[in-house]
Amino acid sequence: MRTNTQEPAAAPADVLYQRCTIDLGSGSIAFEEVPCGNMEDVLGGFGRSFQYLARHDITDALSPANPLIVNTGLLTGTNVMTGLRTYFSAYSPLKASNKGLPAAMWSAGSGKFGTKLRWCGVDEIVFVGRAAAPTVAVFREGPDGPEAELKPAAALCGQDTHEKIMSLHGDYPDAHFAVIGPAGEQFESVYYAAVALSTENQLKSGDDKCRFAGRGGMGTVMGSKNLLGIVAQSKDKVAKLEPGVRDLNREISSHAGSAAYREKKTGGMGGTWSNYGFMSKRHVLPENNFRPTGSDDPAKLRRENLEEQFVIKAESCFRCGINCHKNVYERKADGKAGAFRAKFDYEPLNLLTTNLGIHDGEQAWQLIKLVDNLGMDSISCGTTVGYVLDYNARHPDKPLFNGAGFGQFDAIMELIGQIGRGACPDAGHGVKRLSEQVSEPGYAMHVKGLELPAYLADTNPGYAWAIAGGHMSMSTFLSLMMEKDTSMEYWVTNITKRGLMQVRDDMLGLCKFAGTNNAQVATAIEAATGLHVSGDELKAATRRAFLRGLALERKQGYTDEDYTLPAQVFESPNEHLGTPHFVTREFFTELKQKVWAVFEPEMQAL
Amino acid sequence: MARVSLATMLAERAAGRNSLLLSGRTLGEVLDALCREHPALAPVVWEAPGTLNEFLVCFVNQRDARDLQGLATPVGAADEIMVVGAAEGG
Repeated sequence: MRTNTQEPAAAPADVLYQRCTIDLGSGSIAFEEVPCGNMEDVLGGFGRSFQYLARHDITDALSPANPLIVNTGLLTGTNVMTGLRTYFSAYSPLKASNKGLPAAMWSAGSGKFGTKLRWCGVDEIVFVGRAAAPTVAVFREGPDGPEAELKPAAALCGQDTHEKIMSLHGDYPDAHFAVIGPAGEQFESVYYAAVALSTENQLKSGDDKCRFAGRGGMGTVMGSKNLLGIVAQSKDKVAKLEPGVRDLNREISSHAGSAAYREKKTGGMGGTWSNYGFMSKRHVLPENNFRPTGSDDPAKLRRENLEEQFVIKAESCFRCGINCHKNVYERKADGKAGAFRAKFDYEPLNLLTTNLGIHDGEQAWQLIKLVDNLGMDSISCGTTVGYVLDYNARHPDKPLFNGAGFGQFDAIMELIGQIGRGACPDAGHGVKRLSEQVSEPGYAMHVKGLELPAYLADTNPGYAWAIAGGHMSMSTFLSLMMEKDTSMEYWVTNITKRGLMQVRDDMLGLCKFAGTNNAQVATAIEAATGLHVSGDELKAATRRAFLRGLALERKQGYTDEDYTLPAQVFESPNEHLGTPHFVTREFFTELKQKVWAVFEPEMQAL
Repeated sequence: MARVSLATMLAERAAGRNSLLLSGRTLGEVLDALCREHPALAPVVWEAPGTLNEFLVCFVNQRDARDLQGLATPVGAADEIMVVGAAEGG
């Protein structure tokens, strides 16, 4: 980015970002410096990409005309800790209105790809069209600025995510990579394919340690363009640590905001995995397709119960002191770490094990690894497979697919393998479409076409207003457990004032695990970029960007009926939950009226 | 006074402040002081009088207070307390 001002709110056009537009059909490549139109453009990420998508009318997410936008945030590639995010935005093959139109989505991932892209001098890439043959786009620094080139990539076809990254690493040793797996290559059959991003740890160790931009099928869109990978090749350009950034980084790696993700020895909770403790105790942990049974089985996968079986190491993304990656290794006879198994995060762990009736650590890593290697979103995959198993339990005489049932590890592995390789498109198209096809949508755990993450809808009516996946774009998912408030006033305020602020970091390039407040972010921006952005300006830009996301849903045909929860939540309260049942149809209907009364006028004023 | 650091969700109930200086001889007394200064926190911090919300975990100098003396853990002027949720997104 190039800045000719210190006051971007007053003069956004004086901040310019470098965009590269590539038409994969014709092979044309065009770089341009684009002046920002507003603060959301300056901040980047989905704040900028959603404005681009709003200017394009797309009715088919797999059409070559659907733009795939790959961009970074203002703080990506800076010295600010966790400033590593890359964003993939497009009209989603998965998230769609009841009218069948695709909705705009973004998905974020860490790793080092975004940093390398910034170091190449590229802030944003727009891919349109479809390549005639499998292709890789290579970005590098040239003598006069960034350069790009399209290269044939047939040799990568069929390789899994890790294999593709390591193959490319052999060709481009100083680069980082964004790739799709076999699922993305089978884009017509798998709508929840992810984009895998390489990490420093992965390239150095040779272990399968990608990060993923999983949600919304951005890997599917990439596959539909015959784009197998993106290479960002540049020298490392770690700048001298600015004093303000140094202080903030110390805070990020030691304060309460990141504590949940740190190790216990550094005053942390041990990672998102630690959710198993509290949530299994209160029986709000998704189990058997989001239907806790009241048993103690889920506790078998608590971290402390697996520490004798495996060696667990806390590792990190590039220069991050939070060390949120809880990497599980074989424990050898001498107690030392053997082969790397998988990274255990709460979402994949829960949705690919407990939610499928699996409570075994050895089986857990194999399921996580399989989904990662195939390059699928573990949330959408786990939730869809959970539905299949539930359906099969209800229809033992007429089961779906291979007849897999809860807890049947081998059959579940087989089913996931089939989905990821494109052999099971009815499951690969996600739970909304599958449940409608078999005419049993009531226990399909999705909202607006996007599968729910590992927090029960019974505890979170805010899901209906999440614009990019249930928990990462509406932070109301733990509110009931923490604040125990079931009043209408509380939930209206929670959704319209607080929950939507979750999307701020999806513009900035920061990881939500940093747990920074607006004042800290304002300090970070000034120290790292020299731009003055107040906390209030950040708050206002976040709100506008979120509301623009809701407005984009309307543009794609979303009506009042789309904003709902799985019918099971209203019709069949689960007596095992350790939380009150308050999300009734009556409550939800009134909540909708009151939330829209806040949002509607603001959306119209955008 | 001890320095108290709050997770984001709690800081919102403390006028956006995620770091405060508070006095008290024990962890429980410091939390009492926190809730006196920011009454909106009281219903979240306390399950019942004298009983911490089971969703919250407190650390004293980076050690889980449950492994120390719980709310009776002695706290000195140079000590650092963190109050975080027992579950977080991700």
